[in-house]
Amino acid sequence: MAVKLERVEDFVWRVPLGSVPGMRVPGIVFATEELAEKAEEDRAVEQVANVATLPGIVRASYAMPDIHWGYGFPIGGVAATDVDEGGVVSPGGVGFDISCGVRLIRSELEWERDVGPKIGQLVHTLGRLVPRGVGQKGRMRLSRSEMEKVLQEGVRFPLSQGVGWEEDAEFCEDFGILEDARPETVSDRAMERGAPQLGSLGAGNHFLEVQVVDEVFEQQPANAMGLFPGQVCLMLHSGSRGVGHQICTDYLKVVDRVTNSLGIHVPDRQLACVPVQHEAAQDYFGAMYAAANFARANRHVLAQAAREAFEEVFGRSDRDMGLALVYDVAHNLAKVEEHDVDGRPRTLCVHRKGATRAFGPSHPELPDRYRPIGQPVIIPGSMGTASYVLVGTEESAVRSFSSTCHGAGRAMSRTKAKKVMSGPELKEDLEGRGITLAASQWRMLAEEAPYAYKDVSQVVDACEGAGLSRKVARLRPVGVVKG
Amino acid sequence: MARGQLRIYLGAAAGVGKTYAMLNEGRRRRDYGEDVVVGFVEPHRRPKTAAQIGDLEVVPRRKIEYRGTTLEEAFAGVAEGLATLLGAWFPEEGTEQRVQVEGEDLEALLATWVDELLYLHEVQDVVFGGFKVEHVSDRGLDGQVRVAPRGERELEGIGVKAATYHQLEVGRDGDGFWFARIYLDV
Repeated sequence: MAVKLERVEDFVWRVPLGSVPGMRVPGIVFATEELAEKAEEDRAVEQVANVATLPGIVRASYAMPDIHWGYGFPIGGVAATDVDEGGVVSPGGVGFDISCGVRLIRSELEWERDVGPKIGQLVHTLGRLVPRGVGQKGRMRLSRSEMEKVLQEGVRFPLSQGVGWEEDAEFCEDFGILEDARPETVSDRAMERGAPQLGSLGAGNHFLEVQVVDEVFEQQPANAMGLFPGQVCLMLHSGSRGVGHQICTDYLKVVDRVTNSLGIHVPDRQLACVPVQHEAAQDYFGAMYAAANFARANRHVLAQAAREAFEEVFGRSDRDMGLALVYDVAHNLAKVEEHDVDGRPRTLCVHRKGATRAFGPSHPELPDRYRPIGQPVIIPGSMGTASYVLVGTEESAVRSFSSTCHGAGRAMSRTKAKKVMSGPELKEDLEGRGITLAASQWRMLAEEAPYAYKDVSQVVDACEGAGLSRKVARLRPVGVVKG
Repeated sequence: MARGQLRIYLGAAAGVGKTYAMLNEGRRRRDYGEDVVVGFVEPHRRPKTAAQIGDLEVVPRRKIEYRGTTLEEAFAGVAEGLATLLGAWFPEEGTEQRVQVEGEDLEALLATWVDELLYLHEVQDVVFGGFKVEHVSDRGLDGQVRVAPRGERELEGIGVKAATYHQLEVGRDGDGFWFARIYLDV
């Protein structure tokens, strides 16, 4: 029997206790009525209920409006466990692409005046300078000791090699480095896989997009972020590549063994978990943070490659064009954070899988420039559709442990998507709508088509309706480089 | 809409060449310019049949299920499924390499086996020519994997991140066949 949702209030739906055996808290899904229906059909709601059985879970098992079925945890799921009460961490609650995320780079360039006439050349040059596609090697091939440095230092490593701008670190979550990363907990295999891949885009739904600011919804945050209508920006979506996949694989195995030995029962083996205070969990954190450092460094290196493409095409320096980093956010991560629960501060392990952190104003972890407005949240649309920049709210802290959506989420499976339109047909369709495209595998392109994804504007409006984040700007794509 | 035609190939016994003939016809028509897609193909571990798929477009599956008469056959079948998904299945090519993996139980072993093949594929940059699983128990797997350097080949498969533990199952079905199922994160 399918697990059903009960409406609580506008944009908020509950998965009642008892929907599946062993639920410790209810589920809460943020959605419009249409998105809620889709989530039920997709059986993602059942996964929300399964997550609610995790030991130490606090308040609720949450799901964002772009929720869809995943392995174990749903994509778009948020679950926080109390570290001091035997709360667990689950590698499946982070996912294989550890710290997959997005960064947005703004510029002083205007679409009509500066970039429009040269968009074909720009996309072509970006496609040439950015390594992409399945198994592609990166811009920086690392030795073993350099690999260990990246895992420990995140963006500090490429900066130490003269790659990127110093201030890029400030406008990245965690300031570009998770100090508690421990490379010694990362297996040789993960090292081996990651060493050749720094500065590579990957494949699947990873991409680089040249975008134009279409509409500004709120002036004050837009000013703080340096965004204005008609402006050209660059959005980049990528993750930790092979090193993340291997670390998740390694620790899923370890944690699976420990789950059994501790007598923890989970409804799906992919939800294997272990108390945060257990040694295995501490090792996982050390490795997961290392993968996150790699992912941030990866996007940092890719961003610099993109800046070089702009320099080549426009004959101006990146500084001169104002190609500054607005912010870099992660979608797949578990963080230890302090949150108020029932009136007192608690130390929680917050899993966000396909969900973005959304701190409100004044949060101490924000860069000075954003403390008055809240944390920028970058929401990529699917290929060829609009993306959004949002800002986090105070309210999200009590509603969703400071979390909001991450993107559109899939509406149909990859195989179904390919049946609707072929890669070349899709290319023609997008180009007909004024979007220039560079893709390394035309066959795969159709899997990533816009109709395969949920309508991101509906998702973003639902997050705003639920008080998790607010819209700052909408950006439309004019050039896409895909893996 | 025009009427379609359904052609069914019947064979008097297993292995006489139904799939081979159909795929052969498919490739011939494709070469004439017809749009040919393979919806589902089960090569039954017959290399000549698998070779007939050639470069016809196959709709990939993310779930791999295999029924074999032995446990070893089931594990080998899953490996072939993985190689096909990756676009890295080139039957008979390459040289054999010994692979040994361990696991807590048969399911964990299946996941570890798949992860081991993914690691080989990525780090050694190889394609697969054959899988001979010699021995599987709930302690470990011992087998020979035929690998060849990928070289200049552009693989027409999908990127597979890793094996998941979702609905992971290895067991015997009602007919006594060994059954293995695994979901892959792509």
